[in-house]
Amino acid sequence: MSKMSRRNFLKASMLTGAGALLAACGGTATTQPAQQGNAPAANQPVKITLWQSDWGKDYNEPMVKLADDYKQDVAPNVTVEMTFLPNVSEKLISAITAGNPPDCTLIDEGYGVPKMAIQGGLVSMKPYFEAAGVKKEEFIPFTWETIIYKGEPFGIPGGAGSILMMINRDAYKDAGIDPISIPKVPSWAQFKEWSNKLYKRDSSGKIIRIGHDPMSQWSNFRGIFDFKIYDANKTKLMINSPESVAALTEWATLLPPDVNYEDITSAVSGAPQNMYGAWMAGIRGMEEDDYWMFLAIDKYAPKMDYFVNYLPTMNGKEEEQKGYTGWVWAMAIPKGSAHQEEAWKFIKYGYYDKAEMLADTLNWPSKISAFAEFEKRTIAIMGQNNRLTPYMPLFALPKQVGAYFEPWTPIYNKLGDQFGTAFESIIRREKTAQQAMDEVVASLQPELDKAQGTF
Amino acid sequence: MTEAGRSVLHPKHISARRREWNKTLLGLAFISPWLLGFLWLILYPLFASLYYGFTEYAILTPPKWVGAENFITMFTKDKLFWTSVGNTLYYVAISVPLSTVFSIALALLLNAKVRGMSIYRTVYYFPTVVPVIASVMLWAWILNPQAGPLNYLLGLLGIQGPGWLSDPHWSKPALIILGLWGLGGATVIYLAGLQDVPTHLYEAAELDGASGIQKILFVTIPLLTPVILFNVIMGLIGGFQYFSQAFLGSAIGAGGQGTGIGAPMNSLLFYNLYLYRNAFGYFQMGYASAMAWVLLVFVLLLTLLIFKLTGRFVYYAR
Repeated sequence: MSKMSRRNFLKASMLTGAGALLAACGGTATTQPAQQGNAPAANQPVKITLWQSDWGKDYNEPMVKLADDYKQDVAPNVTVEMTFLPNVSEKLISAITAGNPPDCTLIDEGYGVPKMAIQGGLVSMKPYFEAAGVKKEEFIPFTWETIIYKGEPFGIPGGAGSILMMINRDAYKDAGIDPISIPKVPSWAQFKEWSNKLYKRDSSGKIIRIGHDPMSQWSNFRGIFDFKIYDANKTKLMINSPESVAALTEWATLLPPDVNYEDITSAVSGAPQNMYGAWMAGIRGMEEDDYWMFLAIDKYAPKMDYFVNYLPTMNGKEEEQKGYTGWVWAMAIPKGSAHQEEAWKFIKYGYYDKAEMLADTLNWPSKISAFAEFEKRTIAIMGQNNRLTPYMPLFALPKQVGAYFEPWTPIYNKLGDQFGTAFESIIRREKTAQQAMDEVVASLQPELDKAQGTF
Repeated sequence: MTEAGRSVLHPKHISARRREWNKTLLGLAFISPWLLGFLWLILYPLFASLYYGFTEYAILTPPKWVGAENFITMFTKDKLFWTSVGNTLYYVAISVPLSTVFSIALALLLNAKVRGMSIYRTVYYFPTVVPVIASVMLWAWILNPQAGPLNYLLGLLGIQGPGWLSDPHWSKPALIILGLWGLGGATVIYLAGLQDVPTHLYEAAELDGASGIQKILFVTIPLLTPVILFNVIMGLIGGFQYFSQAFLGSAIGAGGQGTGIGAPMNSLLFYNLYLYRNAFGYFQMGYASAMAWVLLVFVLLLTLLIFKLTGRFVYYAR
């Protein structure tokens, strides 16, 4: 090939570069219009794709049962294909942008539904809810807020959770705490006292058992302190208000004065890596979670003598239990779902009509009227003689009375990240609660100001 | 048809310039698979991200032009941006020199005339082929404060080992140690460079009474400088793009708390990790694109600076 002339080379290069530049500036990502597809003929085989978070083998496998129940009971022609993925919302947005989303998705990132909805990534459930008569009052109070964006539902609350104390009788006795003396609703002062007593050192002074890990479960305890995040209109961050700072400062006293947080991470790091491993190994004296703990406890600590108790309230009073809170994951239909109607039918079955069927998946339903049937079904799964069975009614109460929740705003994710880092700096005694919270507010209040009117 | 029965399309009648252009097109056609890939998968995204850097872009909604706002926010308002820059510079400033020194030392050892050297070379190269996730999980166990062998060995020496990945003061050193484990790739390149050092120079140095260290300092290293330059530049580029190990390490350091990104206490919030969080966590693709271009320009300028200084530090044997 003869040598290319400079003129031709420059021509070809300019054409190439200009073409790339035009393509870059002219093209923007646009979502494909909702491709609902043609409604399949009755009894025609349909495959619905469902994405959800990877919860590990022990908790993934039960989720498939709901799909099996649906196929067996309602729609033999419908197969729900579940894909378990880490970081679902990150992959979901790429899939929606590419025009190839799953038909439905389980979103278990906190407030993942409004986060996606504000971008136009989810289908509004309002017409479906109106047609089916689905109402807010039918659901656990703190779950409904998580699926709302600008007053419209973009998902349906699915599995809800709220925590109770799981008490290892042997560890408590070893620490000099009489398990029988634990009241039905402890006070915060009592909880703190037990936590301090549970710390244990070996002969060399190394910590071998901790009480309550102060980095753990703040989001489920903060309602007890009535921790304010925003003002009533969600225009101003209140995490650095005197009351909020006092709450954080008090919480930080869970770390005894003679213990550094590094001692806790060191102690816990040696625990078995399975779920609740540190508690089952006796390294964590206190653990809190929902009823599904029974699966891991039965598998990894079948001989543990434990019982369940309500979380504390500030003064140990039952009327203060409205400060309880919880979390929930939701089911939603992404924009561009190829089988939108079929997806809604499956979601309606699993999370509304037959919400009690969530018992098969080891998730607590958000629909309150399903609780009684759910408990019966769960006890049948656990077994009448299961150590947790007598305590099943306790798990229902926080979901029924708990009224505390963190409101959603567009800065939710950033607030979570920055608050988490600031919170850790308080626990590690690197900053005071006031310093840490002032920094977060200084960083995020301008963003909250800018976001006003968009949510 | 024209005179003598020759077609007007006969090559004789096509101008030289036209022939040249046809040959050019033929060449382009042959490289078109690569060219299309380059245009579509590299050049287009490159220019697209430059555009997005000047917009507010949440992926699912059309980008909204905001001018230099992303860059202004980055440099004047975002404290976490500077945290990520600081963490990345810390890592690069320590890991690149350390890995250079250790790689050269390892290469010198592996260049020795010792029986079974091929086995030793294989063993030292082996960590390079271990997948990133597997190596991080392995080192998470080695560096486990309670049950890990490293702290156990330190304990035998009377030293209480730190929390490593769960301690914000030791998390970056933990990743630096992890990085040193994978020196095999650079070592192999140094090893190849050592083969190019003429033996007569060593002989001449010996005749002049040079010791082993002097031979290394005054013969080996100068002649190895082109390879050192290459590895340093590659190390810098890799260091500034550091992501996977930090992503996994911070998930381990978080111990299951929160998102884990950058934990503990943002000590592992590297530049690329923060870029990723902005793009896929906060859906701020415009801001993330701006960050990507800042990184590109910075690394480009740094590389140019290094090339400019090569005259002083790099010896090319002619």
